[in-house]
Amino acid sequence: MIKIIVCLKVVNQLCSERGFDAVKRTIDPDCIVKMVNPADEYALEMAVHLKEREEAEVIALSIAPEDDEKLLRFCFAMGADRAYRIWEDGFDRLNGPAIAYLLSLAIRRLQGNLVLCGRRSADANGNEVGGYLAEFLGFPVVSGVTSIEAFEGRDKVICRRRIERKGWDLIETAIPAVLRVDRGEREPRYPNIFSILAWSEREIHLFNQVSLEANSLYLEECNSLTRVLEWIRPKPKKVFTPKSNLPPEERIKLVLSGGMDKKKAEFIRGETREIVSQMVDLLAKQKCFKPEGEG
Amino acid sequence: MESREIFWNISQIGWLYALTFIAFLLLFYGCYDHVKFWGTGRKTGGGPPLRLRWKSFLSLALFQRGILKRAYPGIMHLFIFWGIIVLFIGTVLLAIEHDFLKPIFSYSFIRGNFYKVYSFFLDLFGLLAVIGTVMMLMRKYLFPEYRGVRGRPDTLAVWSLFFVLVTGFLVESARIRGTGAEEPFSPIGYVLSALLPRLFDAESLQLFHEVLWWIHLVLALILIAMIPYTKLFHIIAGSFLTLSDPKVKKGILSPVFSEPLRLEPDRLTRLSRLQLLSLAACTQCGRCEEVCPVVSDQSLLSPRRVMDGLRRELQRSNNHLGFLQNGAFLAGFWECLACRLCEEECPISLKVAEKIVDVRRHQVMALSQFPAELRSVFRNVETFGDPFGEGKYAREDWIQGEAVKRRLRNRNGCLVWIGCQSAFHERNKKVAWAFTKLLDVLSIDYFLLGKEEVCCGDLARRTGNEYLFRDSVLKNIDTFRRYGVQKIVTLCPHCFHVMKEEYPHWGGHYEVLHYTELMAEVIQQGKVPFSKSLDKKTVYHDSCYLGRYHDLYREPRSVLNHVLMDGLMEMEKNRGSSVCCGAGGGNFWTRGNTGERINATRLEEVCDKGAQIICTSCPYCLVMFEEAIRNQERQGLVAMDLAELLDLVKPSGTEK
Repeated sequence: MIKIIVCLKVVNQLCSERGFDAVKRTIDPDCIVKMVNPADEYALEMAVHLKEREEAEVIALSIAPEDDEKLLRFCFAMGADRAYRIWEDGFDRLNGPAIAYLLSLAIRRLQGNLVLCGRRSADANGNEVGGYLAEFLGFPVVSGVTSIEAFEGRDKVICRRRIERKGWDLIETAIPAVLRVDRGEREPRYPNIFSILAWSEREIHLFNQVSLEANSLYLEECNSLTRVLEWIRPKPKKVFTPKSNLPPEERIKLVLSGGMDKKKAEFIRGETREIVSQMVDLLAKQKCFKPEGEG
Repeated sequence: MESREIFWNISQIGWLYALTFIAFLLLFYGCYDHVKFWGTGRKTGGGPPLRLRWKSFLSLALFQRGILKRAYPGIMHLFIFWGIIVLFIGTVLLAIEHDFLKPIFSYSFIRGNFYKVYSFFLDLFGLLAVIGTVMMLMRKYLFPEYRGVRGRPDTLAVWSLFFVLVTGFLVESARIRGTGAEEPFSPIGYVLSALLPRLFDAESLQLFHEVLWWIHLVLALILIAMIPYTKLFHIIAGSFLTLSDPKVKKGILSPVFSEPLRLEPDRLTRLSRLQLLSLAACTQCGRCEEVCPVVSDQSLLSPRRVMDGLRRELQRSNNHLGFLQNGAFLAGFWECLACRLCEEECPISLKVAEKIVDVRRHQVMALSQFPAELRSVFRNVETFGDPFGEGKYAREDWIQGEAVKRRLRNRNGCLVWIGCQSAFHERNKKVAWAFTKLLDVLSIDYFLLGKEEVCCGDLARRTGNEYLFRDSVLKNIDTFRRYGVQKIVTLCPHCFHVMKEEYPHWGGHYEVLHYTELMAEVIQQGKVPFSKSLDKKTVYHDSCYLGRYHDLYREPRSVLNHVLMDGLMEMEKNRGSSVCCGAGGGNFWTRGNTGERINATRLEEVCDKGAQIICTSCPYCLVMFEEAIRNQERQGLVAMDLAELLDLVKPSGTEK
């Protein structure tokens, strides 16, 4: 049986720019919304979907304080079999490499052979944990996976990965492996009530620094590899909202043009011949080309 | 002494008893099947106690109040109902006398004056039944749009009923002719006997009588045996339903979970016994279908088909909702507006919307199958606490002045609950703003919760996500407890309904008012004489949740009549028969085509009246009407909330 480990993060999203004070470096807690990282939810969905096809066990793993358990439980109800939480005071200050180090210790302990995690977190947008994790574990890593296509025997997996807007890769990788999951085709399912109720009572096992036998010096070193120097946030962009008393057509036009009257669209109607001549005029007016005879 | 010879001219009486026995055997076997199916229903524990309701039995079953709401079918059904009841009682009395009292006690009571009265009444009510049946046949064949009698079994039942009655009278007249009795107290039979062709000699008359007698008997027994197998079963099921329906206030849904949070294993998959009984009591008369705003060529929903389809599918699957497989049928459940118009219209007040929500609950909570648009709405309520996904912080954006800002969480006076629509929707923000200004003018003490508000949960409950609803309720009740809230004034009828009627189940008991109630109260006390100065033609649109759910028709009208110079105009469909704006039951969020179509039709009704202002007191209705006005590009018509209207005419000079 394959052990799929899904790493989930509870992200703190700013739902309003107004609570953010760049000078004092404070954030009003009221404007923070906690949620499970959407990309990680896609990863969990992928794992659960795989479990429905293959013999597998889905283990959820998260570095989160006890307060976040309620949120996580709702998410685990999508279909996780077991759940582990890593926490110790001070873990809220960890950066990507340190988190990856802790996760890798837990994953080794759990003997997982397929690790799924979201490609990026919605808040910090570090794009780093998956990569570091593969490094610490010595597994291959595939980034931007959108679906798992097939299992080749017990030691290979074929996954689909988005490369460009319309392009796809099919990548075969040996397992154990780390897959960094992107928004896939399958929307994360809405957990059903039986699962929600079951998970509201099920135990979430706890790891801490001691039980993981994490080397605190090494952890410190990981944590100091990178450092945030400054938060720079753009000035809140004024989002254009058209007046609600306009007819819908106009509103659509305004939204499309970003509320700028200058970008007015011009409609050319009439016979083909007329349309062509008007278009030529229009393009000439816009100085797209020089009409014949002038140059 | 006057009496009647029973079984005159009839030999081989043994057959009568044999056939009757078979008919009743079939009747009881069919009923046993129904009872068995009924037994698969959930017992409704926890709800209000099941008391016998003689009052509703009298008015709905015996006096047919519900059916009489419409004249033609009402009178038709009333005649048939009472005709059959009296004829049945007459026959039973006769059987008691002939087979029980006479052979055992040698006692008979159907003679003398009693016989005269008895015979007269039987004739009279028989005639009524004939009239009713003829009316029914006329409706079936002359008015094809009438759909009460559908399919072969129904047609068979009506025709057998007709022939039972006709042959009954013919038999009577032949007997009167044959025995040569003078029976003017059986007027119909007496007249008919005189009309029988003189050609009949004694022998052919006897043959005529005997043949008709047996036809009469067999048809009557067929009718009795048919009861449990056709919609005639509504006679039994309907009577029991009017007797046993617990007295719940209108439109309140039963909770899914028992507290502390627990789910009975069959709560989501099975309908309750009462619900099964009401499925059996439905006659498919189609009144619900006629009034339902959703029903059209493009829609998949019809309340009538919901009842019919549920009964069939559940009988097939032994009352397990998981076996509902029909895609189009299921999709129809998501089009319901939960406006309860069908329930008001139903002659025996069957709860259709409640069953629709139960199916939605099963779909959402057990199967996680629901329209994709709802997913983000559920998620938004879960994470942000509002269906718009704007977050707490934006909840206070509608507030513009310092005066109102000071009202935030200051615990003075009553709580004014703004609600998600008024806090986030651009159009409805103006309503919230107008209402708070109004309160300032009236110097009513109030406070706001601002970012402490969480979605009231109505949206989640009507779309079947009871878990999310419960979550919202508990959060809000906790907030109310922290702020010591006792009296709540809401802007939205939806918040009003759930807080008033559905929060108490979780221990949230508050005095909840909709703001129109508050305003009506203020005006009644004469505290502030609003000037009667608005000279616009105005119609008022009753929202479902104020109107049909809470019968608040008088309050908004009294307020409006107080400020309108020409008084209020009424729409064709007003008060209890008002049509939903198309946003109810989660349809605001799923945004099907249904809503747009419905508000367009409703708006045409307004325009036919030549109104200039369409006044509502529900944020959903307001948005829907605004959209309809924009889509149809109606000039000189505006949709306004009652609060905005009052804000226009508030006494000048008092503004702070």
